[in-house]
Amino acid sequence: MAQAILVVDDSVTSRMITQATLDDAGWPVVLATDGAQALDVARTQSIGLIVTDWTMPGMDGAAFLAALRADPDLAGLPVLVLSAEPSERAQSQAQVLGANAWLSKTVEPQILVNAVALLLEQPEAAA
Amino acid sequence: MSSLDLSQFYETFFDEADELLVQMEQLLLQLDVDAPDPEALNAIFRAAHSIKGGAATFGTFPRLAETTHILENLLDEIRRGELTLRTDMVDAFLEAKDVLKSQLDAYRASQEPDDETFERICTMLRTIALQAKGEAPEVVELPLCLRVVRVKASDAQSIAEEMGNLGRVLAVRQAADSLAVWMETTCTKDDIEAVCCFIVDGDQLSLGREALPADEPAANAAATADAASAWVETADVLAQAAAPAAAPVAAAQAKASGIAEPALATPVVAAAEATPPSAVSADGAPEVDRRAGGGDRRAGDRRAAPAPATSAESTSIRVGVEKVDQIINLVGELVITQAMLAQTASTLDPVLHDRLLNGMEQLERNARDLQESVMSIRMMPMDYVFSRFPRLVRDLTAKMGKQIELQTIGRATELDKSLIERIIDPLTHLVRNSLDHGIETPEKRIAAGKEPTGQLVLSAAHSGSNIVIEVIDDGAGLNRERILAKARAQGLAVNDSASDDEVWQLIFAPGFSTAEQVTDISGRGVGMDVVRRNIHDMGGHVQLQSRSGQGTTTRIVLPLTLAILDGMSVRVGSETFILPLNHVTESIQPTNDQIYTVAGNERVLHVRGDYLPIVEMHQVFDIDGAQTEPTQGIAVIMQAQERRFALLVDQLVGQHQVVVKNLESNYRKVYGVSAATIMGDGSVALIVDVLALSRANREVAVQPEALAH
Repeated sequence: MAQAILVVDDSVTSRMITQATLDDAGWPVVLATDGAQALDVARTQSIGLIVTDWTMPGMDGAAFLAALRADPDLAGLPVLVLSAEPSERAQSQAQVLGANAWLSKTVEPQILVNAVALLLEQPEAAA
Repeated sequence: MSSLDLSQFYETFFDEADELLVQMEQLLLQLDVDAPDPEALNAIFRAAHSIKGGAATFGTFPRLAETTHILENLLDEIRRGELTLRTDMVDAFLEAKDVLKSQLDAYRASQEPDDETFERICTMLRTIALQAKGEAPEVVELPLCLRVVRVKASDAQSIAEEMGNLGRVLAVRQAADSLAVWMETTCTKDDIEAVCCFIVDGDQLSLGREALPADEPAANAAATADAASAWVETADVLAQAAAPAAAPVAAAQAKASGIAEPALATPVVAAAEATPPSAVSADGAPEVDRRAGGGDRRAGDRRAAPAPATSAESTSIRVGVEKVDQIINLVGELVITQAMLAQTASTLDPVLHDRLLNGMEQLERNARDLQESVMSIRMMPMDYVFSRFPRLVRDLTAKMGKQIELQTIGRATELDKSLIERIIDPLTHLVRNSLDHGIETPEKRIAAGKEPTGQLVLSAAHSGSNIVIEVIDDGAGLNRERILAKARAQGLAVNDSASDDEVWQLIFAPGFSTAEQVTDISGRGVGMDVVRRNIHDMGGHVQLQSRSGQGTTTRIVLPLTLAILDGMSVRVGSETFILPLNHVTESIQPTNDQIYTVAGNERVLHVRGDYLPIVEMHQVFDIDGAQTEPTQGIAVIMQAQERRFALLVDQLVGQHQVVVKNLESNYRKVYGVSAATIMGDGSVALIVDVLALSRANREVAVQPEALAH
């Protein structure tokens, strides 16, 4: 049974679009509006991969990522950051904190799908 | 994998963006320029960032994306302390917000936003950024940018290739069905369009000058990608995975769509700024401190009062107004049916049918509770109206060189949605009056011994089944002499010994204005009569109170809702009518010596010194079998606007709260009738239009000499 993909984003529109894209590709999707809620979900449900926004109110992408990697039960989850944040600084920060990939929100849906498929198949390559 | 049609998400995006812009404006207005609240700056940044993200994702809102992008960068620098906030920046941000709103509205209407406005705001924002850093803005010729919308991937590819033939391509951005190409070329815009029109239509194109997209790696041409890093591997593999779509397009997309390659050039620098995981606690919602060298800040204690919460996905749903109205209608029907049942049940033997009667009581309670609950769905907090005013006050006081502080009280007080919409215009007019004519300039105020900053208070509170809204200023107050003089000049009959209240009423006359200068802010004074008429149409009334030199208070009283009415039922012949209770002053049984005939055959009623026109219901509605002799019936003294009159009916029946049913939609418009309702016995009762009836008797001013018994 396919594990669910957790999509974290404070924007309603972004959540809807990402969910529709992943749903279209056949994956079950769970939604969260910020890092704190996402942590709860990750701890209580069976999640295979996380797609998260970077700039969010409350616990943002960086804090969320850090919290994930600090939790031994969750540290191995592949994380794909999907963000409109263009700065290299943020991308580097994400890499250092342990994100597996960074995609811009402007990518074609197909690329997101390919990236997710890749990360789900080869979690080792993403370390 | 089928390509996803993103346009189904446009509506959601527009709504979300609208709310974010409202939030942004409120936060900007509340900003203290000297000591801006960091959480507020973050929230403003996130609002712009979210809108940019959405606009960029769709790819079909280039102007919006570009404008928010520049705004976002500026806001980012300010919130990270790299740029100091100034008042003129806040003004520019507010203006940018207006431009963004107009861009959103344009896209909503499937139109392209105005290019000039776009270039103007972008230049303004860029200039601020450069000036604040101490650099003079260079006049740089931005590269030409060709944008194509609603284009197939293959056509987009062809166009991109053609552009390569026409000049040097600097950057390409391709989204689901749109394309943007930045280029340097000696060709004219016409040449470029001509070439494109072999492939697409003219209305899919737009050609302008735009800065390169900020995440364009072209600027970092020298950066080397670490081939061994997982990031690059992912990027390459992704590019190949997407190959089945169209190899060259995919490769260009993968590289151009912002997958992080050059970022790897500076991993060391980034590490210094990354927050160590230990600083993040799991409780509450800590804000990650992004300032290099800053300690871990708990945003919790710095959080200022947030703007009214926008609907979080899990706690509210959007419902169309028609659905709500439908529910209200059905509940109204339910109440009527319940009333009919209660009427029938009331004739039953209480002992024999006590279980049924208990049940009926229960039903009545349930019905009333349900009705109240449903009515409350349409109720909205006054904040919806009040929140417009901080911006208005700020803009106008700046224009007029005055200092005015706005206070709002009772923002959570609720009012029916339709009334809230209708009160906006009258309230705006009153606020403008206070700002323009009421509150004086700082110099005048100081000369009068007042604080230079004027106070304007908007308040809303419930009072019984009404809402009381007040506009209070501590300005110069109404000038009695000026008003009397102006009234006389307009030919109105005035009495010097009239009470203050009566003098203030003159302001409501059409065309009245004592403003020495008609300013473009509050207009020609044609407003007050319209204000009053609007309020009366809503079933309310407006009063003025003023003290010279101290200020003016305008008091508006409105019913909480128009769907139910407190009414007095009366009998005329075999018909039952409902008189709106808020128009009823009193009722008397007239005696012969109170009734006078005026020239013609109009009759008037003498009540405590006033001669009130008599309106006979049976005449107005042509009812047979009614009481035609006034002394045998009842005279109900009614008031509509400033007219009082005596309504002649057969007898009073009682007082009820009735459910208002629209007559026009069920039948047609009828003179003298505003709506209808269904009584407990199932019969239809008409609710009278008091204003219309007040004009039925043409006598307005009565001369005592013309009277005869």
